Amino acid sequence: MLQQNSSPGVQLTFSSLADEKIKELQAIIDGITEPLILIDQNFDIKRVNQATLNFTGETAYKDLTKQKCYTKLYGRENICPYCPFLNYKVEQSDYSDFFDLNSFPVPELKREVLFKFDGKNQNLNLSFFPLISKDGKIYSFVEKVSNITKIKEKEEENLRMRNLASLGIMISGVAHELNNPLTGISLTVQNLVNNLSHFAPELILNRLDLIQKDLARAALIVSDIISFAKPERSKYTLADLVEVIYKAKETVQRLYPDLSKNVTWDINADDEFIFYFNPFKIERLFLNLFRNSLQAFDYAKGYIRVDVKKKKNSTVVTIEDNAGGIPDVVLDKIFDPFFSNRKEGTGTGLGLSICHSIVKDHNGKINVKSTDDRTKFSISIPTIKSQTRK
Amino acid sequence: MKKILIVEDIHSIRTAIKDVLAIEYSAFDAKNYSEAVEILKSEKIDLLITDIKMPGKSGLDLIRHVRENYPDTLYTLITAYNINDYIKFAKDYGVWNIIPKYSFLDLRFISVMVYKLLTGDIFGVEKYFDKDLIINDKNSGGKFETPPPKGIVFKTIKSDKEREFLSNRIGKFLIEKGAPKIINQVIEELTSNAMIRAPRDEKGKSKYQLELPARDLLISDEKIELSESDYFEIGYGIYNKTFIIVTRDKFGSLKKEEILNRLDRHINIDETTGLSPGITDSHGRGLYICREVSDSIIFNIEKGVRTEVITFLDNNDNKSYKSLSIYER
Repeated sequence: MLQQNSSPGVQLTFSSLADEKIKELQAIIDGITEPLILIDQNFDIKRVNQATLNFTGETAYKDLTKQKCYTKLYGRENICPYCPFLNYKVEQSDYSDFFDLNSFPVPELKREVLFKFDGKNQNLNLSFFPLISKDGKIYSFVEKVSNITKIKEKEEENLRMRNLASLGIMISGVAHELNNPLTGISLTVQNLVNNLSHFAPELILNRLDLIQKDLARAALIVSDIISFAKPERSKYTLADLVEVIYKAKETVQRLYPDLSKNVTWDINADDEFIFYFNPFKIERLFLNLFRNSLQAFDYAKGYIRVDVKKKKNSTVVTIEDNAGGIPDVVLDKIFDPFFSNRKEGTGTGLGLSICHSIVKDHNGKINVKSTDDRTKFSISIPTIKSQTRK
Repeated sequence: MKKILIVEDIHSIRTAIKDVLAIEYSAFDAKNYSEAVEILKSEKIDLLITDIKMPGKSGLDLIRHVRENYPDTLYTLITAYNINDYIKFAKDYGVWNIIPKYSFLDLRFISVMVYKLLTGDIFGVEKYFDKDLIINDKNSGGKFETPPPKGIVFKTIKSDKEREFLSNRIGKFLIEKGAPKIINQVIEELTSNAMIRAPRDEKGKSKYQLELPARDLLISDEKIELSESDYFEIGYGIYNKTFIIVTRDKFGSLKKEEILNRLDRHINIDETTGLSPGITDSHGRGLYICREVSDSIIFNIEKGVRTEVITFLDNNDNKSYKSLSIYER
């Protein structure tokens, strides 16, 4: 005898004991505050909970059962394009595309979708749990709909806050870094004004040269920020990589004469390295790496060794120093923008991040190894012999 | 000729300071700790001026070294960092002068500091200005007087009533001329210090306030009439864009350790409560606020004889770079 069950939208022909169990089960799933839908292999809704009624705006269970899930839940005429069972065929017996049925519990399938309701786009996280028959076939599945809009908003908010905090750290670093050369220039100008009448011309020239150096430092900081904020595509020209490395070395020696005093340099190239790359950016790359090394030495004695080697289609440059190494805990963070392991307020924290983006821009790779007191950066960039890139 | 050693890692800053000081002194320079230590070995240095953060050992290390090995050498600090972070060190190591390195720093501030430290001639606001600063010291009566342009006028204050009247008028005048409103607070703090806290009897007891040391309380008398020997002076004026307030009392009872103590209680945060120890009472808060809102506050003290407190307020918003300037003779 066919019997209409009082609350759930499923028709049953069981005994009153089974009926009792069904009621219990319905009470349990109604207690779950997120929509829970049992769907069969034809995408027909078999059973839902109270939260599903609220989600769809229907008032009675029977308005949902035996209806297509995509129509009732999401107002679609066809199967949702993101549905994990989109290509499901009733006669199918291999479900390995969907689930690893051998593992237990069967891992849930998840989809994160945007869905408009209550007048705004909401982030829904859909989870699918398969029901498997004795012969190993999926005969229906349970879909759980979680509204994660609030969590998403919170996450985004957190991310924004983190970015703001990083920005704050960067700005205070930049402010401090700029303060030094600016103070130098300001005091030197005051000094020149005071002593203009009795300083010998060469003394004045020397003081002006100090201003020039401070300006170069300030300009370097500014260009760091600009190249970070507005990375541009490289213009490749035919250039000599070894020459560029020497140029970068001379620049850091000029900018940091004291820091580089106790450091011995050893630059080795086993061949000529003339190919297409952006010499300005690559010089910048080495400049930043050399500067980091020198600052790590902090006046101590040591060496910076650069090896340039030919590989099949690429050129590999390794830069090794014995300035103390990088602790494991920070090693994976050093290419992150704003990360700086130096004392608070020094450095912009952009140096290595810029290195990373320069190498990436050249379709190359940069990695770092650190053991004991040694740090070794390896950079590999493709050796482009003809200008094909626009 | 007095010998000065400047230790600073930035070439241009080091050279500029050295050039200015070399006019009147024998000036040496070093770019780091180890170079400085070498110079100290061969030259008898009278005054050391060192940067705090340098590659290698810091300026604080250098001060420890000097204190231990050259007890006659005076020392001061310069830094591009927040000086408040070093108040604790200053307290522990008896550093009374720290100069902030920033782009609006006037080189004169350094040469005045050096002169004051080496000569002991510490009083007088005129040291900080060109010769065209006019000081009207005639002190006619308790009436308000407009200071000369590029000048300061001094007034004697004899009672609470006069203090209130003059403070109001001076504040109003300076604010009209563009001073920040907070200058009222500076005037209030400096005058109450000079009138209520400075006067002490021979035993060092406050004359115009009740001290309750057991309860850590100070209660000032009401409607104070100062006796003639306790009169103090307030000077006020404007030089270019700098607003100037000076108080002078005849006691010299402010102690330099006390100043650092008071500042320290408000700057340093108790790690367990997250609050400064000074927040629960009022000791030193006025002084702390004065320092925070002014561009420079300079204390000149001759023990038991006189105290001069000079404050400069510029409108240039460089509030984050503050010197520590305490001179005692």
